[in-house]
Amino acid sequence: MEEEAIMETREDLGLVQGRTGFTGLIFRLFRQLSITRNLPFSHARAGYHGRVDPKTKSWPLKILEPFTETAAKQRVLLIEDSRVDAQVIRNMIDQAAHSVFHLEEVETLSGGLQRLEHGGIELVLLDLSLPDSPKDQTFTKLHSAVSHLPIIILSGIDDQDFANQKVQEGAQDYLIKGQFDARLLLRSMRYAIKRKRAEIALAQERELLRALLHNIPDRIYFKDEKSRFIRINPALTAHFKLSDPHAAIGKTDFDFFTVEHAQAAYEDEQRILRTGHPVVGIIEKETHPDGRVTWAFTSKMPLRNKHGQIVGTFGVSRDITDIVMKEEQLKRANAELTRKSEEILKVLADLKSSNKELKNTQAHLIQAAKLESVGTLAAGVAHEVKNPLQTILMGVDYLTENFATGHETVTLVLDEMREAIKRADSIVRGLLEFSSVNQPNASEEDLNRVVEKSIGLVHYQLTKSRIQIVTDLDPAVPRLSLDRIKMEQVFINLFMNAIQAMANGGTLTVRTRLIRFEEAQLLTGPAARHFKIGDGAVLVEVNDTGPGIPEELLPKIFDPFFTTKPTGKGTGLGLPVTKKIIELHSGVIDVRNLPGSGGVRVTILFRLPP
Amino acid sequence: MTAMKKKRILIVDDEVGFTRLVSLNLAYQYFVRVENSPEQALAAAQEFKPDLILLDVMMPKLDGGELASQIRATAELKAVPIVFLTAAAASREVNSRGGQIGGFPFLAKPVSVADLRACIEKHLQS
Ligand SMILES: Nc1ncnc2c1ncn2[C@@H]1O[C@H](COP(=O)(O)OP(=O)(O)OP(=O)(O)O)[C@@H](O)[C@H]1O
Ligand SMILES: [Mg+2]
Repeated sequence: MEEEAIMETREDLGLVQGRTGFTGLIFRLFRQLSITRNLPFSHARAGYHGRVDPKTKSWPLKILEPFTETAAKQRVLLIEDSRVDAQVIRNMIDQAAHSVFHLEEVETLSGGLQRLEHGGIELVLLDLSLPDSPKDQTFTKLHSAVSHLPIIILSGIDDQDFANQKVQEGAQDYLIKGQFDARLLLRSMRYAIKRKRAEIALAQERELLRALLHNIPDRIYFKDEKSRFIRINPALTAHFKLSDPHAAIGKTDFDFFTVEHAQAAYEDEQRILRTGHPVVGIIEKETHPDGRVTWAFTSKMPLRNKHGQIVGTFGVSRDITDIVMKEEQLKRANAELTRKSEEILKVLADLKSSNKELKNTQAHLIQAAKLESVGTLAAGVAHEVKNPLQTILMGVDYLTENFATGHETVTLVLDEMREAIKRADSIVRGLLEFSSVNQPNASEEDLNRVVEKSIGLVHYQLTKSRIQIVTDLDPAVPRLSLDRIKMEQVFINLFMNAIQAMANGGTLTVRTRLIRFEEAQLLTGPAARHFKIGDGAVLVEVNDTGPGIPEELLPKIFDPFFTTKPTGKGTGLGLPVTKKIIELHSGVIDVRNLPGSGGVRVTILFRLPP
Repeated sequence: MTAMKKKRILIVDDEVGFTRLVSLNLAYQYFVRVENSPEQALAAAQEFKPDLILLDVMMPKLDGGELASQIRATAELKAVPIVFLTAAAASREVNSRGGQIGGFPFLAKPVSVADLRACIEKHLQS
């Protein structure tokens, strides 16, 4: 019901839009808002339900009865004390060919007021000189009682000024008795009713507009073509912290905001003025001179005069500062969350890598502990084994010197025993060597010289096995901080392995180089972990032409006591000791089979001195 | 080898079997005295007045190093050459240290009779 009434009212107001373009615009705006929000018109109103009287459930304005064209005749009340005059009027109305009026008559003002109270009257014809009212008060009294009714004054007072005054006060027309005919009277009556309706409609519209402007929490303004305020509603007045909306008239956004916002708004409006295109549903950041920042959801439209020319702009803004703040908080919370989760991921990654490191370290520690225990064991074993060995050797020597001469078998037995003592001793020696690799005794050494000296130490074995030695030593290799004795041990171990692998001859190649890692492919094997591209290094290569190492054994060759050699020939400590010594020099060692030709290549890399 | 008086060799080692056999091996050439208790070694040395002392490095109660400095601190024994015997050395180490432990020459166990004789002879000369 209520909805219908509103719709109807809107339609009716649409009829008068032509005459009151300004108000029409408000309704167009109202409609646009509802369209903007994709809501039916009735819903756009939903926000104002709070203002609907809950008892009557009706719109608070009592101006919504629709105008209806009555098929029945319109009732006209004639207030006239002169029977003659009344008769004249009656005749005029009744004689009219298609009179739509039905005349009722009273003789006094009080009688008239009484009749009017009953309603149904649509026009009053009023004589001013009545028995119960002075001439100059009659109209005022009646008008104030029924201001919604059109009143035509029928007077004997032929005074233009007086007539004008009455029309000014609200009379629809002032007809001088004896100076009008039926045609004039009827036309005046028709117009009076029409005009009054229009007046009321206009008043209704004004009331609607006022209600809208005053009650809506959205901020509404109208501006001229220079973006000066023509009108602002109370919501905007409050936003500007003004006490009176009129105080804004003639001012611009530059008076209320900082340039940042005022300029942006001004440019929007100037564009609307130029193009006629509205700006719908934008979010504006409003910066105030006191540093405050507010946010608004705004639509701006061109303001047209009745000729359709753009004469300014108007707009509606809703304060969405709270929403924006909440959004911002949310964003911040989100960012914080993202940051936190990234942090967590980072911590996790750190944990993972340190866990891996830990595992590595653990593996190293276990290895070190193993080696350490090997060391302690070695010292103990050395003492416990070497002393009996010494006793046995003394015995064997004694027997040899005193009883073996001439006894071949005894000599043979004693020699075997001596060999066994040596073998046991070499095992123990290997253990001791392995466990004594912990402290390097470093000094500046010429690596090439150390290599040469080590070759000299195995010269006998080389010639015995008919092994050719090829040396290719780079004179550019700088002096390095080395434990000479231990490095000799390294080379002897490597050379001995090569020699033992080439029992039937071959070639042993020893090469030194000063190099720089220019390409990633050079950084293979353990080198990749110790060097990066651009690093310099000293390289030593020991190559043999032996059978190589079976691939499946390669991972084991650095394990202490790993050997493929017959008992007495190898203790399996050569490479572990070598590796330990190289690591003690912060170097890396890599053992691999040479592709194709076979044979083993041992590569050692030292860091360059800083 | 002259008909001169045999040189006196004191051997200090807790390894009884070894000392017995080493004295057997050296008895023909030297006048050997064995001491198996290092804590009594100093007194034994003062009494025996050796021309050379063979000292085991690692012994219970008193190690060879300590004993050596006590001997050096004793006036009448100051000039007596001392040679260590050690079961703890790797042979390469012996080379690298120039055959010295704490300033004294040493032999790594197990040492052959021939090597032991050569070493004794060498240090008796100096
Ligand atoms: N140049 C090589 N050619 C073939 N096999 C090799 C070579 N170098 C090492 N190996 C293999 O690696 C094993 C381990 O070598 P490592 O030097 O550690 O011990 P070993 O030579 O057996 O004994 P030790 O060195 O104590 O006398 C060897 O037994 C052998 O099987
Ligand atoms: Mg080897």
